[in-house]
Amino acid sequence: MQADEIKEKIKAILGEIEFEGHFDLVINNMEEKMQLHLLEWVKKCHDREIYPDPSPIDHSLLAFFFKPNVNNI
Amino acid sequence: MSILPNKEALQAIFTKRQIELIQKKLTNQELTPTERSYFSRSISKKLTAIQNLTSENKYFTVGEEFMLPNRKEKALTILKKVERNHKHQQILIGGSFLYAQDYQDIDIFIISKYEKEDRVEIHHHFNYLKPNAINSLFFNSLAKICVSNFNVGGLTMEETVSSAQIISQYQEVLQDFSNKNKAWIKSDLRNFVVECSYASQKTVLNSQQLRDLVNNILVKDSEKIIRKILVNTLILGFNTKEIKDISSKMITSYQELIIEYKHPHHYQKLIDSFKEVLTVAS
Repeated sequence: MQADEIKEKIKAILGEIEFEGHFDLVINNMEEKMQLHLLEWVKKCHDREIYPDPSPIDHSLLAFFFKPNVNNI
Repeated sequence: MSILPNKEALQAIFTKRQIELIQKKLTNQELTPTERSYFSRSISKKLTAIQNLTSENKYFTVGEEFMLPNRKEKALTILKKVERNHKHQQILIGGSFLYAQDYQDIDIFIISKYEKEDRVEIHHHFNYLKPNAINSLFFNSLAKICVSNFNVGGLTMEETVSSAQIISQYQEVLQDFSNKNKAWIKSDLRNFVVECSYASQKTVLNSQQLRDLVNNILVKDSEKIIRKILVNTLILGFNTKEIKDISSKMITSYQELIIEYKHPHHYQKLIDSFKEVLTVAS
């Protein structure tokens, strides 16, 4: 899948959100299996199955860590 | 009997004791921990400087005292082969291949201004780094034991480590423990330890020290140890007022999250960690 397609799928789960420039580069270097894994993870974050941590810089922001079982992303 | 040539010239640079240790090293005799430490502190730097002044030698070795016999020579052979396909590029070989009997891959780092994906070819792990990575904490740590085709002796550390970075790394490590995420725990813990060491003591650990420390932490009461590392780093490395302020805010944020998300055990560990920071800081 191309980055734009993934972005649309993420927006369908989370609503209107913004993506930073690095996102396209990461997505375009990901295998499709990993992209699907990412979408599942977004759904789990939305459903509160994944627990976030507050950002130490801005406490109004929450950080969700995407940590699949391979670490070559 | 000495195997060193031109002893007179050597005596102009090294003390008698230093020459004895170099002799010991060249004849593959084992150095005591005190001797190793002295060698690293007082002799290695002089040797690197001499090596750098020798213009016909375009290859550089750092941390040779940590390397296993023959690994430097093997690394040099690999480096020369890699150079054939990466002409005029800066290349460095580092990591466990140089100092550990058992290693997974041989880590080869190539400085490239072009974006390239890392790859593994028959136990050779090619890592492509952008030129600005040279001044990072990661690269400075890596370059403490390495064989390269460029001089890493004059590297400068341009990276600064903030309290927010330390806390973020701690959060990631604790998430790995809570999720039993074995794929990430070692690399996250390594990042956490190297940053803590630099933030609290301005010390850049070499890759062997890092590996030993991480392995030691993982076989002991890991979460308790890393909490102590967090507390010590924040207290020793940063301004007390800043640390008290950030810790209080983190506690408040986690107390809100503990109500909203159903992971009280994980969040309680974080709250306790920041409470310990506040206790020590007071």
